Amino acid sequence: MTETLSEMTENDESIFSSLHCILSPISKATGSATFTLNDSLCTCLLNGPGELRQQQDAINRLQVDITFQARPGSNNTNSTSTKDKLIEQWLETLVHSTVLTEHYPRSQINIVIYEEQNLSGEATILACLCNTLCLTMLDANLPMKYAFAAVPIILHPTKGLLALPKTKDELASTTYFVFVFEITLNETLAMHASGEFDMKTLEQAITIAKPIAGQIFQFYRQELEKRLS
Amino acid sequence: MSLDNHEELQKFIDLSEHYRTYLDEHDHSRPDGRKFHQSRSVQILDSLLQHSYGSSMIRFGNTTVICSITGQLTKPSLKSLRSGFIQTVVLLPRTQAWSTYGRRQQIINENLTLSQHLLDIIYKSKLINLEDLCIEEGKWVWRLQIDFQCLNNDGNLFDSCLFALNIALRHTSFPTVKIDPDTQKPLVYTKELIPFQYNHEQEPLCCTLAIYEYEQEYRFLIDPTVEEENIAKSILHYVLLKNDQICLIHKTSGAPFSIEKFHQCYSLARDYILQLRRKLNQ
Repeated sequence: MTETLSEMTENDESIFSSLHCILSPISKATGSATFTLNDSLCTCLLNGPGELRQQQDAINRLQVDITFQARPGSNNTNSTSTKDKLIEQWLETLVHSTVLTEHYPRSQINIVIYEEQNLSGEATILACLCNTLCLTMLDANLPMKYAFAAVPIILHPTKGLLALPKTKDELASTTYFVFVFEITLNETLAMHASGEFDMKTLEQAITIAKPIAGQIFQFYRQELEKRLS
Repeated sequence: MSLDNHEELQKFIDLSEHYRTYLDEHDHSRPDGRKFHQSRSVQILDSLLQHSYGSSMIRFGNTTVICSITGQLTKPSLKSLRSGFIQTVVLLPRTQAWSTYGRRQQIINENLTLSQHLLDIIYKSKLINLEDLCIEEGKWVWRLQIDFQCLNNDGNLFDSCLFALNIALRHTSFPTVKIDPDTQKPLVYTKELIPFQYNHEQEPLCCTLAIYEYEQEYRFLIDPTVEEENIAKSILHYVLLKNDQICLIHKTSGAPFSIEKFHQCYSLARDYILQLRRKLNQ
């Protein structure tokens, strides 16, 4: 897979060079996907609705079990195992709210998502994880209310708000936003923002992020069409 | 739990339905008597632990949290010779696990996520500068251990822990440490206490909103109890600094939001945190 870090222009084609995807790289799983966003690469696999192993409290809906594994030995000063748990909990709420869990009572799905490469900061990896998760669920044909896409945005000290930032820019900034949009693009499903900013910046960030999310949905459609043709 | 009366039975079967009928019957007031945007009373107690360098106990209604700050001397890592370490740990005793096995695991996960959130806030808001924890570059630094013991979890642990942290930091004083020039070992003078240097300007405080769907509209419940957190569609955390800048927004998925709702929540959060700050400065 060759990476080309092209300049962000108004051209629609430019963001597709920073997105790559392989569907069903793991043939044994019900659904799996590998997704690349700029310099981050994630793989996710899903084992479809199966029997509930423990006496858990999911009597009338699907039980979701997510495990996230970060890349061991990565040089982030702030990465600990508790950060993995935070990401897992956040992704679990995403799955619960988009998958039609009422259709599978007393069943369980297991999702294992792992980060294979992350050269940039937290925003890109979070967005990459969300998008990988969505592609995996689409690949596994789980009934979902809507597809979702995540967009990372950073607030660079000199260049302002940048969407889908390049590694150099991301490492230079401390404030980032990750928005998860659903396919009609009217509303934000989830978000995680950290740093120091005000509501105006947040509003600008959402307006920048929406068209990018639209292009990511187009990318999903392209990839799935390739698979089905 | 006793299932002898109708109300308890209804709560056990479907908490959300019970909550909705309560709201219908009692004119939009929550089971503990508050309106949607009202917060619980806050009680503060500081410097209660004699063996910690700083401590505080906070009660938000029934939620009780004890924050204790201690330190250990350690060698700095080779990557940054001037930085100390900070570790935040949130502990919820097993007595809080009132339900099935699965629930206990979820409680453990909640603690870990909360610990990580708090650590992120400390770093991002620059509340404690790691360089301030340095005693001698390359040789000795402080390793700050911030523990939160939740004695009772009645919802909204995030706000209470952050509030407790702010109070505890105000009353933290570290013993002076001098390095003995002959043996290169640190000498700790426990009687000579110096107040801890941290960034007083930033006082990150959090507002947790539970988003609940009632009568086809999303209602924002400020300072949710544990029942409200369970029935909420999603939970929104806003952490604001002293200058009203936002330090962290974390929204779990569930209720789709438009930009206007974010603005609404921001104004609610700002008012709530203003109240909290007044309490903090009393």
